[in-house]
Amino acid sequence: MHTLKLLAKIEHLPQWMQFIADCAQEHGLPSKRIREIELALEEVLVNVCQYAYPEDDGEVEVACTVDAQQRFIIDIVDWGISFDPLSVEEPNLTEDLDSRQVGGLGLLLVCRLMDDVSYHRKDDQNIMKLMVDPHLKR
Amino acid sequence: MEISIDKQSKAVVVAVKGRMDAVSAPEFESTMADHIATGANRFVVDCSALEYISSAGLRSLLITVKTLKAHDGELVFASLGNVVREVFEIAGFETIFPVFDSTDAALGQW
Repeated sequence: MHTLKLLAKIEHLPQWMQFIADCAQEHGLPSKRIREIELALEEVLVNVCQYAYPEDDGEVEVACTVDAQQRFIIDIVDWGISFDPLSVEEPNLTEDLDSRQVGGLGLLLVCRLMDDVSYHRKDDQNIMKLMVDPHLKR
Repeated sequence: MEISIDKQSKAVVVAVKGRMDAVSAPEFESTMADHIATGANRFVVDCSALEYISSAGLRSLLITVKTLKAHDGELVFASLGNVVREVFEIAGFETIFPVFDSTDAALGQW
């Protein structure tokens, strides 16, 4: 397992991107899939940076592992306020330009690009789990 | 991310190179706002060297286009790569924004 724990600040994004790209490459994932993983990770991290710690600074940890079925698993852990990102409503994609809302697209991308997405709260931790199954045809 | 501006007679071609993410998207938004403020109102966003766009980038595009519409302007996209095209499709952007295979094709519509 590789982990990277930093303060939840947007300027750290490039470091997490590089970290996850290196992990994914090590696992032999193709470059398009790696871009998709980076995208999903960015969306989760941006949410944490914006909402998890309203009062003070806090940390977020990204960990990647490979399970027994060769699936690539990314855990994003923060110690901020309890929040389930998957409880947010998906944006309406059929609306025309004038009606389209600016928010909500991030989680949509995560759920469409990853093979599985889950959230749970454990003790004082928010844990988002993203999974990539290299055997699945997309 | 690098942004290069090419003011042509039919439209301003904005070439975006690199990644449009939460860190770089604000720069795109402010660059476009500056150009719109000078009176330019027809844009082709050349995405041939854009390797990545996240929801922050999509938000900046949406905000830019809404501003442009208020100035009676237009913005179209050209040369989307694989990942950017996929993100556009997931977000439903291809139904609200014109997308062309090349900058020449985009300019050819006017």
